[in-house]
Amino acid sequence: MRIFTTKGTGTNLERFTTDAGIDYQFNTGHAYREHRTGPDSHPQRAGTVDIVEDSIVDDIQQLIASGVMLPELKPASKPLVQIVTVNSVNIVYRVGTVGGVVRISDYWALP
Amino acid sequence: MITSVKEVLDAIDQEKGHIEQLSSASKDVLITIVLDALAEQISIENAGYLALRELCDRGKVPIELLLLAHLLAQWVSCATIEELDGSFLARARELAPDNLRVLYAVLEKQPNIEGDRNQRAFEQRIIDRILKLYPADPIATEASAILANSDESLPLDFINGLPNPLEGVDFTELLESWI
Repeated sequence: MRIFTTKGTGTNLERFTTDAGIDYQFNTGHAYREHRTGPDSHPQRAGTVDIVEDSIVDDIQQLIASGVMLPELKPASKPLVQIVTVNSVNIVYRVGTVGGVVRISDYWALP
Repeated sequence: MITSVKEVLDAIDQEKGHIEQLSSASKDVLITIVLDALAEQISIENAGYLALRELCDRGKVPIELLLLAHLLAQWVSCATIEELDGSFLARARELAPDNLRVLYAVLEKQPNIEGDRNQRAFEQRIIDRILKLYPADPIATEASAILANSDESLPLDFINGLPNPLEGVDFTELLESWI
């Protein structure tokens, strides 16, 4: 399991980790919560925040290794939407790069 | 009324009193900051987004600006949860429910803005709406065919491949004509 550092609290909580020379930033306060589609959307169904975010980093590393270019924050671009299965729960996440950092701006569980 | 772009940007950089500075900034200053951010002369993160949010919160704005704010809210850390969940898109939808750019943005919003836990049913409603208004629309036609042959919601590669709802919008022209 990777080590995460944090900044902020509550809905402003951000978590950071580095692996293989790549910095990752999670908007955890935005993501690890019940979304508009109801209680099923809470990622806690898949496990703790550490488990979910660690799995997402694993998935992004596989994406990058397979040659996928992550979109960069620009007015004309959209973040990429991906899906990873964590403890049998499908987690959808939104990812892109901002200033060289891989940012996961949101993630949620599918019912 | 603050008419200095530098004054507002300094406040945002220092994260001190920037909310007050933004709310006191003139419309011209906010538009200048947004245009500079779109031209990548200053950061969209924080300065550009916060100025755009302030413009959108002041009342009547072009639909395209609401869609831009919605699009950026899916990226930036400084967006609120309400903005991430689609509050700007909901406003655009209320103002222009039949606008094709708005309908595309609604279709690609995940989790969907209606809070429907049946994503497929939500997508079908939006696609039916687009096809009713724009019968020859190629995106909705393709999406409809995909749903007709599957019990699942639209696949991610289709969602990721949807055109940017703001494709072809000249924000410089839009904002300069709006000043």
